[in-house]
Amino acid sequence: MRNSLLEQEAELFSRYLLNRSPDKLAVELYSRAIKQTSASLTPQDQKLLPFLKNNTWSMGIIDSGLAFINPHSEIRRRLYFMLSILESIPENHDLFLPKKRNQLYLIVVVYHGTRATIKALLGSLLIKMIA
Amino acid sequence: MEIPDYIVVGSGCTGAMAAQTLVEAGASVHMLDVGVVNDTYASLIPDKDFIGIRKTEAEQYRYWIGNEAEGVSWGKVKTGEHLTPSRKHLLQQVDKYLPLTSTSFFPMESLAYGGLGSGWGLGCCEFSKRELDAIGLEDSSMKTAYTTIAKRIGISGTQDDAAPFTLGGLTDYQPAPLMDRNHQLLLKKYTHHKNGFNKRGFFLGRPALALLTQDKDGRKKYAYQDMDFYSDKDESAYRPWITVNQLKRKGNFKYIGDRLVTEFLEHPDHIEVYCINIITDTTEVFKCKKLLLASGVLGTARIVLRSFKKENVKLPLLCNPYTYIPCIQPRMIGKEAEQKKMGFAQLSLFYDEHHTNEDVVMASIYSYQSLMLFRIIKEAPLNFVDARIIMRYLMSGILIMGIHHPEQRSPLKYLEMDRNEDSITGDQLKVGYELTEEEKKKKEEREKKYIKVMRSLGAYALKRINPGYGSSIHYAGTLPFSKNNTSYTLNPQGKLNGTQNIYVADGSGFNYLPAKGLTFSLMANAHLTALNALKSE
Repeated sequence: MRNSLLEQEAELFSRYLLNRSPDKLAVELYSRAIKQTSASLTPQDQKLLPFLKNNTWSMGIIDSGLAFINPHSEIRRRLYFMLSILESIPENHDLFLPKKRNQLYLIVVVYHGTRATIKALLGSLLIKMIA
Repeated sequence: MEIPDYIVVGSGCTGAMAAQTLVEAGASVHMLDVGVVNDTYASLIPDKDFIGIRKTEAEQYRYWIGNEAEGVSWGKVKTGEHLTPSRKHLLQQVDKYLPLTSTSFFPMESLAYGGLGSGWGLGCCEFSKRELDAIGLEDSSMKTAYTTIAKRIGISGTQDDAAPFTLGGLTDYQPAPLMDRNHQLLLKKYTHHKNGFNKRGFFLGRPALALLTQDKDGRKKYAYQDMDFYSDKDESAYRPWITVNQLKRKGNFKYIGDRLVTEFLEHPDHIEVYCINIITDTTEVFKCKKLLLASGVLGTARIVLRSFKKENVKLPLLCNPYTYIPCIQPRMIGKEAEQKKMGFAQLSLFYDEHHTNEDVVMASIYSYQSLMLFRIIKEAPLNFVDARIIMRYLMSGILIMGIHHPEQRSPLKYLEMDRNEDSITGDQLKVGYELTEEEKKKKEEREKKYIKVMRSLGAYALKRINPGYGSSIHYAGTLPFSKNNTSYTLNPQGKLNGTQNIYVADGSGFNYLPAKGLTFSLMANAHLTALNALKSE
């Protein structure tokens, strides 16, 4: 797989996961990790990946749908590798370590849980339409 | 070349303890071991706590996930899932030199210096008299051996409801390590309703750990840096290589690494031990007067099956069935990360249904922090963005409960040698392992009871994760203790029946496998086996 494609993927995934551009190290680690652990794309992934790259708004919906219907898909694997890399970069520690919060934050948890469930339903439909 | 009195095979917990006993008795001992060492990552880890490292260290990715992200595992939870890059060397060379085939059993074996003991969770349990009887071990000698081992390795613990299952009769131990808030809350709730739990057969308390809370013999006390899955810097956690390093300074001990023992041939006055030199992949022969096999139950089975050269021999196999249950304690949700923390089990929950200290089920309870958020996010059926936000909030309240079930022999659990021309040894171990319907039912019932009790303690199960058979990393029973002089068994002194001077110092002889932490008893048995070998001179 070409480096430029992997760099583009790293940027896309990092923006989706943390709403941050990845630094040079994260891009390099992502490219290296995917090359080292290269797994072939299934026909479903082959259709979904270009769609994601051209329609970045659909990232959350497709990720949710895959988590629901095909949690071990190659796209989810790549997202997971990017997530683990981003977590191991010190600048991102504040987005991963537990922080003290008041009980009102439970509303935020419920909101995210509900949002993820709705996205999963939408995502399942969208995946069926695309792939 | 002078023939040593003993060759000990393997540098894990049992090999180290047996060798120490022999060396202290003045015997000349050679240890043959592959001894894989990889200090690439461990040497990079600074002397700081987990939170401090997370905030500042630029190169932390190297020890969290590895240079090639080899510490990131995808797919279903498997045996050894928790191994971090600095512990991955435990599995190095295993596929090449210890080939194994099975459709249902996925064990973890190691050729590392210090063996599987280099990743041991440190839980120490004295087995009860009933359990020792069922195993085939003599109660009074084992109690003395427990005391000897505790003195050697250093144990911390406390007298509480778990003590009858953990410390037993031990008197020489250090204070238990401090608990984090997550565990304190659990224990507080248990203490308030203790009688009710006890009536139901459940007992909660601190595990005895091979972890120092006071300095001992040049080893430092535990510093609560929560880096236990990555580093053994202060040597507060006992690892068998600590013992082997000490033995290397003795004149009557010689460590010979890069050697995989494949078989033995016994002569009237000496034993030939055949090895593969893993640097040259050539065969070498060593000689000794007596041989002590301590290469782990599966490793020892390979050596014995090859040496006896009989076709179609099936050996029994024991392995504790194991299940992880992540739980959430709502009272801890949204709490700040604790700077001083510990990755080892902080509480043990025992289920002694008949109040007999026999067939007891054991659950070890851990907090979750230093294994990083990404590993636990993988288990959530959500998109990664929402999962990160939710799990980060829940993380302080997460408790991982690992349940071990007791294990009996059955015809459905066995191993045998199979030809494999592609393997360097020309063979492979073939394992069949299934639980009977009755065992499955019992396992299910017990786990449901654990979930219910955890709920009463204020912690709610999120899911049940079965990493597959073999994942407990507790193996035994392949060469069961027997008073009849039958093939492929051990006599009560640990000598391989049908031989004159070959002893087995690992768990191969155990006729039964209690659910309680096994390693401490393996070490005590290894010490006794070495004493028996000395006595027979």
